[in-house]
Amino acid sequence: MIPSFLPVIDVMSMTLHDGSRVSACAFCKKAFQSKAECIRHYEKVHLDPPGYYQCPFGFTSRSFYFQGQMWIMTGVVAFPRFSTAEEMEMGKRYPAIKVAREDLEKIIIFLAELDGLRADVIEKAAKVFPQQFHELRKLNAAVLQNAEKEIRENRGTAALQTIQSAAELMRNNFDILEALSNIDTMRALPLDDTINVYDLVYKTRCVFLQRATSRHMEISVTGVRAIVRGSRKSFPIVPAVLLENAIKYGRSWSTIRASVSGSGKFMLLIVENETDYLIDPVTCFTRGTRFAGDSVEGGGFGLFLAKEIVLAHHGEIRCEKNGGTVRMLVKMPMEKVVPSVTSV
Amino acid sequence: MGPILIGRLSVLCRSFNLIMILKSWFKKAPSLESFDQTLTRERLIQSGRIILVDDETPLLIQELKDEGFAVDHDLEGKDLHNLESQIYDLAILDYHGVGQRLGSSQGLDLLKHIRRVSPRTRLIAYTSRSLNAAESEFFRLSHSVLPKDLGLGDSLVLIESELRKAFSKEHLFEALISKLQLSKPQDKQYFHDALVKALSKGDESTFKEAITKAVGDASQKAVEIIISKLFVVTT
Repeated sequence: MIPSFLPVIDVMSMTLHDGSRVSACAFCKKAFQSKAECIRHYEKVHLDPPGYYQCPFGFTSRSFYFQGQMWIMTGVVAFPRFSTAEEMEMGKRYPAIKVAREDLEKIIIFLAELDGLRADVIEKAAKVFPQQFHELRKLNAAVLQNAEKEIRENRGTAALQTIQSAAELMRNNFDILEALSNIDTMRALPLDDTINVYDLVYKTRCVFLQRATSRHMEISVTGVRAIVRGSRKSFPIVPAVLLENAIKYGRSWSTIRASVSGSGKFMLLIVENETDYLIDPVTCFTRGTRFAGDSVEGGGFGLFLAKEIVLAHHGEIRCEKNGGTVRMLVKMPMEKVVPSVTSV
Repeated sequence: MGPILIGRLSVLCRSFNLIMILKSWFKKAPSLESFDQTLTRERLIQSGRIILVDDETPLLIQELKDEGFAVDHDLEGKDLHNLESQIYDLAILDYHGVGQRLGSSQGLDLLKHIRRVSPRTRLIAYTSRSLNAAESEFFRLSHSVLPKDLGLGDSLVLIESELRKAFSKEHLFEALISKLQLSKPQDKQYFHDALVKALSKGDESTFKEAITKAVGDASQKAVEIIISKLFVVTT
């Protein structure tokens, strides 16, 4: 919403908002809802250059740009006036809406300055944030790799393993944030690495095990060691998102079942869980879609990103819902299946 | 009875011969992959030469050294001579703070330079920094991407996999084609067939002759290095 002292119309959504100092008068509000000539006026103003216009009922409209879109301050009678009979009548009926054009201009200048400041902040953030993000990742790398080294050299304790898992979880989150902030870069990643999907899912399970346990959930991984070609940087995000969602939206005291199968030229990864939420299998991949309100953390970006990554890997992802069971299915071109079938 | 049986047998034999001839006609030529020898991990470690270009000293360097890999650490990407001599099987490149001698695009310029002078070197983009759309070329032109914050064990798996690919006949053949600057598919097919034939016989000189015949000169050092790698026995 735009900060304004006077009534303002958001042209994109065609909604009228009261100002913080002056509210739109009852006549204006009613006309905006019901009069066709009122809507026609604002549609015309939208197409014309920013400036002063008079509505068919005598109110002053001042259009201007803020954050790249047009807005219209309206529902007032501004001095100097258009000097029409309708305007005079509205001025008499609603004295509280009488303002000076000079004040309207001040508001527009203030908003332009605000817009400029915002652009400066975004520009600075675009320089500073990636650097700070990079520093955080480096710090996380130091934690993860040193913990790994200590554990391997038999100096590891349960606490160190928790630290290692936390650092891996953090890396997953960094990868998701990075991929979301730049989908094009994610798509540019080479897809020539060899990925053992079963091993990857099993490793992801280990990373999320503590979170699942905290919700009294179990994660089972079964299947074959299917090998696919892809990016070791982006593809691990897919099982991470699927397992994380299954934990977040899954029913406590239930089991999340992940399975990897290979048939012909394709690999199929299925992650299945029980849920109490009304998840829509079609819209769940749309950016920003959420099904749990504020009761579960998340921005609705995970599945959107997982879909983008699977598509970049020439695969397919879909969701099936049967009663309280949700199944996420990822189908990818498979290179081969290597021996040794295991299940956890 | 006797002559009839002999007659039938001779018809059968002729049919069998015909089938064998047809089979040999339609027999698929062996792929370059079929000439790849199984490289043990020990042999891979002994044979591979790695350069890591990073303005910092990540733990990974010590990890690689501890595992026995021959690793050179170049802080800025200044050692162009060794890169141009094609001594490295694998180059692990950071983006920022390296390769300034080659241009403003830092790691990307260095990566492009190595691709040109030493196409046989496998390239790993080594960064955990977010790259914008223009910089993402750094990822696209590399063979693989290794995030700096990947675990040491997983990093080693990725590095070993890339190093193994550096010795594969298919990769070395692609490097040779790139070095010879051949863009026509028929030229590529010609050399592919010539290489398969030469590898079957273990005959390096015939393959060199085929190159000399087609492009005029096979004695160019860069080309010679790749050819010798193609015929090296690595088991």
